[in-house]
Amino acid sequence: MISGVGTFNYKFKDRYMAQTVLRGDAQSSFGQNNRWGLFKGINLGWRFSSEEFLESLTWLGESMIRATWGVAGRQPSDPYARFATYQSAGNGSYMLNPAVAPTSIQLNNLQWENVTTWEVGGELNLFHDKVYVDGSYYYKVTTDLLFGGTNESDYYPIPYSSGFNGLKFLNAGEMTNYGWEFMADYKALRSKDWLLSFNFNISQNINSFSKLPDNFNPERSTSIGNEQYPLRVVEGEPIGSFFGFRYLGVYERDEDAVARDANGDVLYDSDGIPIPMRYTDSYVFKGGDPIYEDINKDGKIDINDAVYIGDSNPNFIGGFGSALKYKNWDLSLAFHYRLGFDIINGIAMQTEGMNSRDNQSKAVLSRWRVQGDNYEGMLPRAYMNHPANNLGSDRYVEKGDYLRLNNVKLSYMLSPELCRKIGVRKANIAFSARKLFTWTKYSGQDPEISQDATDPFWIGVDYARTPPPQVYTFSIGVGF
Amino acid sequence: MILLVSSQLSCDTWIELLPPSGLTREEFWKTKADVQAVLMAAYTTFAGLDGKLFIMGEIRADMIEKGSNLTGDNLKLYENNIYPDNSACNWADFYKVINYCNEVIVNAPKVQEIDDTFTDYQMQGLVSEAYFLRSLAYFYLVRIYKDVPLVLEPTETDDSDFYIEKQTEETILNQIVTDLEANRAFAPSESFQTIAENKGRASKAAFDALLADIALWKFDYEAVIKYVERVEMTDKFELMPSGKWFELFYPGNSLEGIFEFQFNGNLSQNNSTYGMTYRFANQYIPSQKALEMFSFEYASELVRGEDSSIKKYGEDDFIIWKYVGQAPDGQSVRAGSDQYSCNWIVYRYADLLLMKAEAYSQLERYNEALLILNEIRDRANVGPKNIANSPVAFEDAILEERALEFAYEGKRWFDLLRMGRRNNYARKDKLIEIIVSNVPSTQKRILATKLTNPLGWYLPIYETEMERNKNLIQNPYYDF
Repeated sequence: MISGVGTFNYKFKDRYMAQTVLRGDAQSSFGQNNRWGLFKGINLGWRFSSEEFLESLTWLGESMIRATWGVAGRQPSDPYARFATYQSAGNGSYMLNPAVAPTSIQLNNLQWENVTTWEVGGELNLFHDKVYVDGSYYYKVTTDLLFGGTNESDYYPIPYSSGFNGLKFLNAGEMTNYGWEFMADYKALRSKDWLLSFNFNISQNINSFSKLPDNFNPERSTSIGNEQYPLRVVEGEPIGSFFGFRYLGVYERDEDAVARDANGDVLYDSDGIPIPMRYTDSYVFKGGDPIYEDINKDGKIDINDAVYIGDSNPNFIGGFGSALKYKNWDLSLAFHYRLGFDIINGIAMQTEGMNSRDNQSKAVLSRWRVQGDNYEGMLPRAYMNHPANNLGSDRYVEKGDYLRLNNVKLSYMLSPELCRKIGVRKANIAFSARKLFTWTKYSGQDPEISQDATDPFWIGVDYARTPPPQVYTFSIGVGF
Repeated sequence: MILLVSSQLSCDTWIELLPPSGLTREEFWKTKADVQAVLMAAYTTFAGLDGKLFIMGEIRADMIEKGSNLTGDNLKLYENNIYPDNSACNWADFYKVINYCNEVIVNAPKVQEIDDTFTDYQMQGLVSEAYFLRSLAYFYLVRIYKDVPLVLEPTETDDSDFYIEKQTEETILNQIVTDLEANRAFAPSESFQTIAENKGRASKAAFDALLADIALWKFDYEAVIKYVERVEMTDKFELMPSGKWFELFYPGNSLEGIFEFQFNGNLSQNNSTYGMTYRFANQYIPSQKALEMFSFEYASELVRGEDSSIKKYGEDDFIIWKYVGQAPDGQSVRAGSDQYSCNWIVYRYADLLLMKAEAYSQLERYNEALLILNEIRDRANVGPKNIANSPVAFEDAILEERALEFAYEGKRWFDLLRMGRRNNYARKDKLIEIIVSNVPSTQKRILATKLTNPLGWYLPIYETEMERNKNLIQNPYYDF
């Protein structure tokens, strides 16, 4: 790698600040044609609190408004990715002749991913540092998005008819992120022995693909089926939306599973017999089967009846907490919250489907058994290999909102006299607990689902592979 | 005012970084050994498909029955419960072979410009083998999927077009017949030093066998006779004598073999068929029909029957013996490095003779057809047949004879399919009857009706492939 950097800083009267950066990077990850990336940035700041006309405001501490613009680059994680490598294939030989084959596709078009960020923000210090607030709004556009990865499972998939599973990397499409962040800190009490402060932060981020790669198929899993949600990504719309069927309960009797028109009237065939409700062309619903809303009223549940059923992106993410200090004691609390999002309870989906030999949850005890069964909270009937009793529907979509006590810490600092007595320089004892309590209506294991921002098809499904650990730590720190 | 300009040069390696393992495309393709090595990769990869060729040639036909260990996607294939999400429908491996062949076809002439020792004769020979393997791969694809993408260029860089549309069966068959005709003259003619290489690599006779097979699939009977006669005229092949029939499989590479994918446990070139059919595999076991054809209890097939094609361990306890046995005694099981060494026979002389008989009978040249049929029967030590002079009677007799002769050699399904397609699907009911014999009784009637659509005889394009390539159109039978 070769890189050249030029920076230019300018400060005027300690009030107006400007900083520019220009940086050229050449990376051997890329071919000769795309090797150089030119990155730049401008930071502007105005420390208005230092202006003379505001000097009379004694409650105003050091405060400023800032604006930045910058272009940064990202390169592939594998510096050799662009080469097609020829390696021993299959058993390595056919009869006594060595066998060698290309294991990857040469990347002539690999280039830097560019991230352009605009951000405006400000910070305020009020009442002699008692109150501090900081807010910003950002808008980030990523062009020539770098898809792929070093492991085969991360490759950018291409048709198998190419003879390969995928491209190691592909620059394509455009992603937009925008959002805002706000934080505040309030030092309620400050004295020789006491210190009490509160903090709060909140943010919102909206992530969408403003342009998808060429030849990108925006729909996945459209063949539907049990435990499958059809996936769809729309240019310009936030990723993470769920699509699926609307679950309306359980058919009480065989004769209830009939097609109805828009007015809710039963449809009859030419012989005057009610037309049964079907699943695609392969199955006729019976009593005890789940009712899915036939959105287009064609008497058939298929991909055309899949609708928007939720959003895995939280409206707000943030946290708050407090710190209390009294003499040698120190107590801090940190809460974390996410509001306004949905989760697919993947575990419920796997343990309440009753169409395989897998272990099921206790919930399946209250299921439909005989014609006419109908009670609160009843699940569909158990049916081995049923083609449609567990389709991806809003049956498993739950509100994910939660508040979590992420961290509690209590510590005690030994007094210098005591330290001297036992012959150490300093010592403290601390006890902390992580993820102690979670307040949520979500019935699954853990509503905190991490997002994969580079996967256009990401949706928040909780398979609860590892439940959130509650960690209790007791620590003694000694300095000699 | 502060002005700061800094510059930094961190230079790891200005020159090109090359991958630590394998050769890059630029380093490769220098000598004829490179060309041969990629060709061998095509052979060994195709050979590695033997298990798939077994499944595709047998699983939906009537010679096998499911064992208790047959589960998952292959079981669904067996029961004709086929949806596009069935991973057994993935054609990736075929296209891998095709890509390797395309690499050879395109790069061999370029290598010849660099490598002075690479003669025209050698170059055209290697290229002709690549054409043979590519054509064979497409012929399998056409019989499994009907219409498929026709990829004739190697996937070398990310500038290649990956999103290739389907072509009709007819276009693909025309392409491969043209390729085979054009390259047959350059194919090796028994010129290698070992018998294994002469049988394991494409020879002129292998070209003719494939051409005959394609001509039969297209019901071009005159052409079938022409190609088979070309093989007969070489005088290099003959039917193994009755007492040595099992030598076709052990040790293999017999005088009857024309093209066999080679396996050799000593070189860790292991087949899949042993693992799929040995005593405790319990996946693919002889069907009732097979028992009636082969077992001592029902049949008097001494050469090809019990202890040769199949083996009885007890009441209702039979296995396929061809890939497992070491002798036609039902006792000696392959052992040691021989265990996984049975070749996959693509074409053998008896196959060609029966193709010719089929062609004769369809041309109403019954005497010539009967002569061949009885020659095959005579070799198997069973009495001659008398057959009424009608194409249908002969069609049935030849189908039956092929079932006896080539049981479990991956031929049966394609033979049945050929019958079902002949004369504008005149006998499709017979094919449908055979297909639904594997289907659970509740589904039989529905499926029999659906399968009157011949598109249902072919597999769907794998769902993931559909998602990766927007330009593909699913087989309409599976598109609902």
